[in-house]
Amino acid sequence: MMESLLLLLLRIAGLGLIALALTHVFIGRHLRWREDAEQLTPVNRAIFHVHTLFICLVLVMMGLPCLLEPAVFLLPTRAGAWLAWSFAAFWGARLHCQWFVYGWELWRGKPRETAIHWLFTFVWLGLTVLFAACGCWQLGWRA
Amino acid sequence: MHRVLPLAIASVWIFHGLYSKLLDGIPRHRAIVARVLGEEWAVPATVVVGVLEVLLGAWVLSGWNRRACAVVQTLALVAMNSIEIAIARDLLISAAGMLALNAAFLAGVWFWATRPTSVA
Repeated sequence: MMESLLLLLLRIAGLGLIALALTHVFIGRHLRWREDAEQLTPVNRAIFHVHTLFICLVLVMMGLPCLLEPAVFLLPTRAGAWLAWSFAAFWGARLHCQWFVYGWELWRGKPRETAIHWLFTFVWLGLTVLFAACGCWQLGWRA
Repeated sequence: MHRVLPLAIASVWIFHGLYSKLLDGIPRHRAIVARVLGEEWAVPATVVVGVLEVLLGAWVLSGWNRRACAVVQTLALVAMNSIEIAIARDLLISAAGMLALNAAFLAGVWFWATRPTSVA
């Protein structure tokens, strides 16, 4: 019961992570990344674009095993433990950045930005809890 | 030094939280928790302690309110070491060694926390 719920949530997360990678095309267009990046020095402009590309690659590569083979996150193996807990730490760090690195003035008092801020808060928290739950499951914690 | 010290302190917490407890890299940690709280609570309690230790490491790295951070680290270590020595002494490699090592660690923590100039 709990296992099938975790597998379902992992597949949904996988789909979401891949969707998030694809959304970067529209986010970049909307926030005018290309135009803004023109202000940077050539080396920093190149680094910005390469980093963005690699974030999308990481999201797709994180999403694919979640979508296609979610059981690898529940099997109690050394690899599975590293995967589950490092992914949990990854999204926990992202949640921290959402609140304490991006300034509150970027979303406060702006209805759309506030909605996006809370949506991201929910998604990052969900991913953190989901992967931590997978780590707990591997350890044999069946709460 | 002012950059290396917090990194070293945080590494200890994150190593023992993430590797020793969450990843079950050093099962002795879970065995000690099992002795203290019983087998039934061993895994959940080890996970909770592991997560808290990782967060404590992140707190050190953040550089925010270093004195409060040092107080929390001191209380955590004194509490954990006291319980370990009282209840699970046979599971420790060396009680005296652990105390010496943790005393040195806490000296580093307080040196970091009380330095006047702050560079996180």
